[in-house]
Amino acid sequence: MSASVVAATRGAGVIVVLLAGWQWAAGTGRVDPEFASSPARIGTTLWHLLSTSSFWTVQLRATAGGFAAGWSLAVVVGIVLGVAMGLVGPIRDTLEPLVMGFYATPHIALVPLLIVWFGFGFQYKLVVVFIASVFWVLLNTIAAVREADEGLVRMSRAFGATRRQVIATVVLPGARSGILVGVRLSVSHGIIGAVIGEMFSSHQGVGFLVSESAQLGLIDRLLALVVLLAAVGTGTNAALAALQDRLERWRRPDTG
Amino acid sequence: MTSGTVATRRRRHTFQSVRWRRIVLGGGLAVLLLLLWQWYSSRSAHNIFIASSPSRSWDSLVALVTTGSFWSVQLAATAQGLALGWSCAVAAGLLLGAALGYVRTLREALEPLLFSINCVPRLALIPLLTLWLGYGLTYKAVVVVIAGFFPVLLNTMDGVRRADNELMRMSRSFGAGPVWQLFTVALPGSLPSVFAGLRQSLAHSVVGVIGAEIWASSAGLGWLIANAELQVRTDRIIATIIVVTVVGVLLNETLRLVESRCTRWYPRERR
Repeated sequence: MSASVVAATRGAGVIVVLLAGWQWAAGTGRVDPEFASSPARIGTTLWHLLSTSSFWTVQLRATAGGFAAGWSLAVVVGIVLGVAMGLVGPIRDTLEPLVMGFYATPHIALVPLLIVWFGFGFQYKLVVVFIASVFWVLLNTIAAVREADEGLVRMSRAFGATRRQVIATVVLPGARSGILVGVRLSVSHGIIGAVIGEMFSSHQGVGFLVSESAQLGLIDRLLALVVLLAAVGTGTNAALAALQDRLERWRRPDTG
Repeated sequence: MTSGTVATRRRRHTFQSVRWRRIVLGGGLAVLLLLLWQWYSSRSAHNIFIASSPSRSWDSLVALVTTGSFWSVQLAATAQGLALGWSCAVAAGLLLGAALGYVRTLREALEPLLFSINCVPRLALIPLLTLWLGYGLTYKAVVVVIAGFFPVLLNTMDGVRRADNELMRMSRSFGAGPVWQLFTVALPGSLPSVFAGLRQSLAHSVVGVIGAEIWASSAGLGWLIANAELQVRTDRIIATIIVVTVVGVLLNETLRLVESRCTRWYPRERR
């Protein structure tokens, strides 16, 4: 067996042993399964949740709608503002203190204010998701645009390119991969933002299920939702990273 | 020599003019927005009820920080949870991170587990933790530990793992054992990475403690925000948000100061 297989087995073994220990402790009553749940109970609850049609047509739909709206707005605003701030000094100087001030504010502290302003519906969710995702796009775009290859810029200038041409043919294509990193990161943060927002104020959605389960003391369902959320967030991020890797393959000289 | 001085002078000159432009333009925008806000809220009673106003929020802020109980009860409650949780997160993260970065077998055994736990969004655990722990100091501290542990762990592990190979080899040929090497080469070399982790961890911890208090608590800055929300006192919400932001920035700057002290000996280009 190669070293990496041994390592992977060992890593998986630790997880399996822990889950088995938990299951055993709950099964033999060493811990109260009503209180500490168990892997089997979480699995069953998750399966039950996912096979309920209202989960898809009502809850997930509410979360996804708020996410889609807030996230697309964040991507558009983030890229447009980021390119402008990255390219034009005065715009950057004007907006950066404000942007950094909002970035430094712990966003969770803004949630109650947004609840007062927007209540618990679609609008509220849109704003929460926007705030959760816009900074990832914006800050990455500014950095990507500013990090344009100095040598290429100077060369195209020397060959007589206008400022507009330099931006269109050198700066923006060069910034693309940096911008895409920001967009990718904003997806999982936006999804989680939507759920956290719903947790604090909503009448339907995945986050509503979280707060409802907490109020009813349904620990199995809470843990099932946490597992689901972790899987969706990580899965989306990994899938998008793979996609980006594909799109950016031309960049790496070694793979042609 | 001369060209270097010229370059430095020019850089300093641009730096200053950029700073001035930023103060004038950025400050101008802030003043403009504040004036717009004040004007909007002065137009009707409904507007001022929903949006409050800069002057009202300012009054609220002054009233808040001049109350004795703000310092002795609310800020103290948040600080307690944050201090207890963050010190546990840092201690655990440093110890486990150093061990995992240094001992390969241990890393291979625990990395998959830690990475899977790291996928869980921290704030989504808050409702669960309230059910398990109530809403006292333990609950707050545990939320902070969960929020602040991973940045320290991952960055320490990474820093120790990337210990300078040549230094390691040299110290080994001079007779240093693995433990001695850990404390004289690997750990000091990982300081910049560790501090990056500490700062990230502190920021997450502030979010954690405020989130925990907004969800369930009987005192603290987050409780102030949640309470003001219940009473629909926008001015008080805004005032407390400002306090929270200032606290976060101050903590971050303090840590940055400690960092620059501790890494002063480090070669500049690798910092």
